[in-house]
Amino acid sequence: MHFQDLINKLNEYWIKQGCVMVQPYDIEKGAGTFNPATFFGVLTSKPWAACYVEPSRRPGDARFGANPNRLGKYYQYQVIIKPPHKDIQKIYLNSLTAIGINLTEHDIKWVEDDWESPTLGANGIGWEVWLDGMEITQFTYFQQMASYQLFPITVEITYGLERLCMFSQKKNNVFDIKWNEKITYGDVHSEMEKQFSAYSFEFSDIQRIRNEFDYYESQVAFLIDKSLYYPAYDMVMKASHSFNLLMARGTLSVAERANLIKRIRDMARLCAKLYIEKNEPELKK
Amino acid sequence: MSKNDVLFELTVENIPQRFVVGAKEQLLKKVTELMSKSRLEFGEIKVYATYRRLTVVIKDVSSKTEKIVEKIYGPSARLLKDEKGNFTKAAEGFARSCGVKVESLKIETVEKKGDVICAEKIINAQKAEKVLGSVFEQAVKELEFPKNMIWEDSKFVFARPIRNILAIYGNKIIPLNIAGVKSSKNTFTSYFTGFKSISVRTPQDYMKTLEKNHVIVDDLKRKNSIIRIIEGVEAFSKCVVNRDEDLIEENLYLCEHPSGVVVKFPSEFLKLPKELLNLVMKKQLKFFSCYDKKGNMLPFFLGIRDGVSKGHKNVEEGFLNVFKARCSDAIFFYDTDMKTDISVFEEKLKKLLFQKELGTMYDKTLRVKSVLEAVMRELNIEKKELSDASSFIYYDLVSSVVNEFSELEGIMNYYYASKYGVADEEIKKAISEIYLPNSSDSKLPSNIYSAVLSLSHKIDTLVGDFIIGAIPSGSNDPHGLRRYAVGIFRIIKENDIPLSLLKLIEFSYNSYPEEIKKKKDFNVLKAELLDFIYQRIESIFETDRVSSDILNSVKNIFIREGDIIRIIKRIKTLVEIKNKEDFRNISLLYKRLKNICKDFEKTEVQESLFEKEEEKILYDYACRIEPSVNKFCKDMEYLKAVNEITGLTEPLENFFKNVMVMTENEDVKKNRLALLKKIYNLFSDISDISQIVY
Repeated sequence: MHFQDLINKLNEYWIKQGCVMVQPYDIEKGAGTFNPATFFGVLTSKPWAACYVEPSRRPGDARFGANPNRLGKYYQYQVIIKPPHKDIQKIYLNSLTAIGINLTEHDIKWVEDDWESPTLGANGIGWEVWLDGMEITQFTYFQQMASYQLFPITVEITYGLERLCMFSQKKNNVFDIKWNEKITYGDVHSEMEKQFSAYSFEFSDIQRIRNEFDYYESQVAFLIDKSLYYPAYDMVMKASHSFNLLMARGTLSVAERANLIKRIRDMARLCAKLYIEKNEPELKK
Repeated sequence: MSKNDVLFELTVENIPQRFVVGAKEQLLKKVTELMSKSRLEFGEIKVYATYRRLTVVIKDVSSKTEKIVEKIYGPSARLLKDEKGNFTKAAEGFARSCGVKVESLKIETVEKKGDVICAEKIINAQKAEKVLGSVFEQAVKELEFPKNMIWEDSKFVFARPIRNILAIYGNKIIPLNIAGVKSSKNTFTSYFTGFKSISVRTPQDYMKTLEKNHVIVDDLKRKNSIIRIIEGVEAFSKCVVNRDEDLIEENLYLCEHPSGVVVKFPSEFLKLPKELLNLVMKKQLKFFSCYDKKGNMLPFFLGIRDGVSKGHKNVEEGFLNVFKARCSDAIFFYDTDMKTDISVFEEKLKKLLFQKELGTMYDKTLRVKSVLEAVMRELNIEKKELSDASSFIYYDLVSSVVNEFSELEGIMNYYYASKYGVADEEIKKAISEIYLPNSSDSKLPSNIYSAVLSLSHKIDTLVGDFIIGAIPSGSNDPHGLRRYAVGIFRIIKENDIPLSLLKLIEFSYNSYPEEIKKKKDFNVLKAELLDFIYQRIESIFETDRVSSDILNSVKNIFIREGDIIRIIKRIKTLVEIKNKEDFRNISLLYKRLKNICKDFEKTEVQESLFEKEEEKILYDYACRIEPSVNKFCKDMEYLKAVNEITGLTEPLENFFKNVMVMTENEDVKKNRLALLKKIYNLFSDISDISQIVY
């Protein structure tokens, strides 16, 4: 199945399950969880279901397009459902059938893996789903977001689209994935990988990025004060990306790293707090 | 009364393997307890588990509880009614608390209490289904897991979401409700048969019905099926499969229907160290590595798949691909390391902090080397290659392989040895075994060079942390100092190394620079550290059921002398003789001795001051045995030494019977105390015997 068809099939499947097909959010982020559709979506008691592709940037994982399995930018397919149906595992497995994987002919294992994001103050209970040994999905019941105990619980299903597609096309190199009949993943991405690797590892302006981190942090406080949680949260995402860029350059000491993570977590907490106050004041903890 | 079997099956979304064993034990215990209190008759209880089922089967449960009258005894009969014949407040309160009418209270005579008020509470017969429902609700509610979650409206707390409950008594449903899930007669098959709903007619049908649908519920049967797969592969491919118990257990709870998949891989991967390959297979992929008779790894592995044989080719291909991807990473790291010049490793060590206040790993290397050399001199070990090779012991910590697979720290030094220019097989082992033993039952360093190098490495961390006050407390032991202390104990014990810890600590302390040393006085450090090590020794012997009085009685000797070999001999001797009549007698006398002369400074005994025959006899006896006691103690023949001292029982008893120690003549009194002190001290190199309790 072509890369683009895989996305289409997943969209089709999850729309049928009642998900709102929101779109990728236009700010760099490390994972689909950062998209406001998830970050804010899980905080309140209102039912909410969404699906979307999220381009995810991990500057430190970039390999100049030379590693067959590692990318500095890749695509996650993100599904969140609150509250989840009691058959959610089966519903998820059926999505694999929908993209052409016959479950009776493969080995599926759910391997314990409790996801957490220290920068978002988020954690959950769940698994990595292994398809014939390859990890294709992270399946998580969120328990906390922005350090808030969540209720009702949201399930987050995150597919690694490249992995899944490599599996379905039997490719050993991500760049060989066929995007459509004529174009490969490499055609679209390999030059981008090279250039962004050079940027992330050699030419990013560390001092400037550090300054920007401080600026974003001050903006969060300023914007929260004005009751503007959406713009404030944009700043959190930007700060988080700045942090990832600094990490890629290996310039952060262990203590500094912990400190920056805490600062991002505190910013995220402020946004979540305001969001809850405005949208569901009775939930305020 | 008619009897029937009970079946209870809780379907849970994939419970992690590490939770299952504990859950099974708890479930068996709780159900047994609750059933015993239920007043139902019942037979054998069995618990089974897969990664998505917790199943309880109870044999021969009676169909109902009998109606009974329970008697509850209350306050004295006098309090039933007042002078006017009205029920008292106390009687009313008692009736209320028992749930009976006050008029129904009776008076009964109870042994030792006399006449008391008695309430007769009628407990009606209950149907088994009703009782069983609350038994299971209660048992499940009380299960504890290492980590919990919530997922539904009632906020029920459990390891993973509960999705189905099958609960039947004979062919009747046991009504119950847990986390919003109601019980029924249905369960579900596994994912590879589409989570099909199937109905279970009776408890006896359960296993068979599920087996027909490719679910083996019985853990033991499933485990045997994995073992048979392994045996099949061994017979067919003439190989030895790595029967790692943890790995078997892990696969046991990742499959409801295990099928074996043997996957051949290109032999070029075998150039990787076998520990590394095994780790990739075991930890990252849950596969079993295969070896020839000589222990060489073979170019295929066994994976266990959850399902039937349909689509085996797919699974085989998938397993191979994921293996290749993981190994390609490993090969990349290994090749990088093999190409890296060792001067790069040294440079990196100079930047890698050991601990903030204790310098870099390079500093640690130099210290360990100096301790090692001192230990070798002390033990008359001559091996220049060992002290040369000790410079490389931490190089692998900065290698890419260990960076990625931290479990291989140490082990990789064996493979990098050629880079270091180390060729001697024993020395190669020595530099790869410094972290051994790394658990209470792991293997020890395999030769004496390994042993002394491992000791030097461990003592450096212990001494360093104790100097800066990073001493473990409670569960907080981030550097694993307790494990290190146990390691030192085991290495010295198993290799019978005649090395006093006093020396070892001193060598290590002296290897630290002045500005670090001045943070803690040597004598304080020594006492703290030996005390810490002794606590570990105590807990080791406590698991062997050595009583704490014996351990207390030799503690001060250990802290004074720091000798592990001697302390073990002393403890063993005391365990052997503690309950012998002779020893018991002498130890009681010694308790008395200690009370009398504990504050008395040792002085010479003067025979001229003896006034009584018993003093003289006791003194002569003590003088006679003293040299042999000392010699036996020196030679660690503590049993013989004790036997000598036991001979004192009679003269000592006679002394106490006929001689008054606290006499008015000060000189005579002092002389008698000096005599008793002399007797007392005979035991001082064996144990503080007065601490032994009976």
